[in-house]
Amino acid sequence: MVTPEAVLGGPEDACYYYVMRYISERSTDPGLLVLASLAEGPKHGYAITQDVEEVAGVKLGPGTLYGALSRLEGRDLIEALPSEDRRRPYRITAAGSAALEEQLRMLDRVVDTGMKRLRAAGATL
Amino acid sequence: MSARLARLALWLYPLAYRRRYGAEMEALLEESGADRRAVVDLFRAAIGAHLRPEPALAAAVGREERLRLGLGAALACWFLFAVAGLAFYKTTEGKPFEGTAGTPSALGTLHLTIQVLAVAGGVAALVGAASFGLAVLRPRPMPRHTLRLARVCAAVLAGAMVEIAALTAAYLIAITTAAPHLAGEPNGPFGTPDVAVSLALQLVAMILVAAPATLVAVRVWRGAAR
Repeated sequence: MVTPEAVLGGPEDACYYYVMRYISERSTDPGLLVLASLAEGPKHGYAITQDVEEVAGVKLGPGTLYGALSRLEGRDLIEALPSEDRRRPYRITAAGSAALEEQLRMLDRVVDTGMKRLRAAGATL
Repeated sequence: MSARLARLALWLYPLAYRRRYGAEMEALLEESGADRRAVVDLFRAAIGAHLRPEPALAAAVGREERLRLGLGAALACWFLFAVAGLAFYKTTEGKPFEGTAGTPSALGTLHLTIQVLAVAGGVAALVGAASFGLAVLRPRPMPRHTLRLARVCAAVLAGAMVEIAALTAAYLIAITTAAPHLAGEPNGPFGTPDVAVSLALQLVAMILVAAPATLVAVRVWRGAAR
């Protein structure tokens, strides 16, 4: 397994990596991650956690996942599909797609502005 | 061990939540495994589910059932609170602690008030338990007067718990500032620790029980009003 220490070169860089990853994990909205995962197509709980971990590097705990699912379902942003077993799949609704698009556009604006400001400050990106 | 703790954490979720997502969450835990991080996440989310209930899930549990569960939870809280209350009684046993033998009179007043509230809470618990039993034995729907009695009992119980906890805090401050010689006495429930430490521990236990009891009482009141 490739460790951040091996890739980043030094303990300071590795420490920075872990700190940034921690901040990123804490500030990442599970609802947004779930919506982004369901944008690909209907998924059940386990498939959502696997997808989110693969795409965003965030491991959603079972409590966090179902907390997000209940909130999203309560706001009609996702809907549960019928299932024959205990694993019920969820699908993003039209309202959910619109909400996801709006949030991603906002994040895009933040990223764009942040990058421009960093470049203006002399950062090589 | 983690799997057992995870099942316990699932049991701590609100009933409506368990009915809607319980089976799915169990299936997820079976697939992904229940490590320590998952268990901590479940306990944290279970508390969140109680503090910030999802209104859309409310329909999963009927009004009657919610009220019965609410009153049952309030009675269970009172039982746990009584354990801390018993420890308070054992800690402050003896005339000097009751403020009757030349010690500050504030101690005696606080002691007496706590006893009066404990009796009021105890009576409310008995009446509440009786109305709860009657409601279970009688055919549905729950009679209106039983409902009214149940929510009044839940409110009295929660109120008594909060006030007793506040007065215990006042008693702790009074005994440590006005009678430090008594605060240092080894008069805890088992003869140790000393009175101040024992009272501080009881206060923490009281607050931990009184907080959910108050939350339950507010929900019972709101539920009955709907």
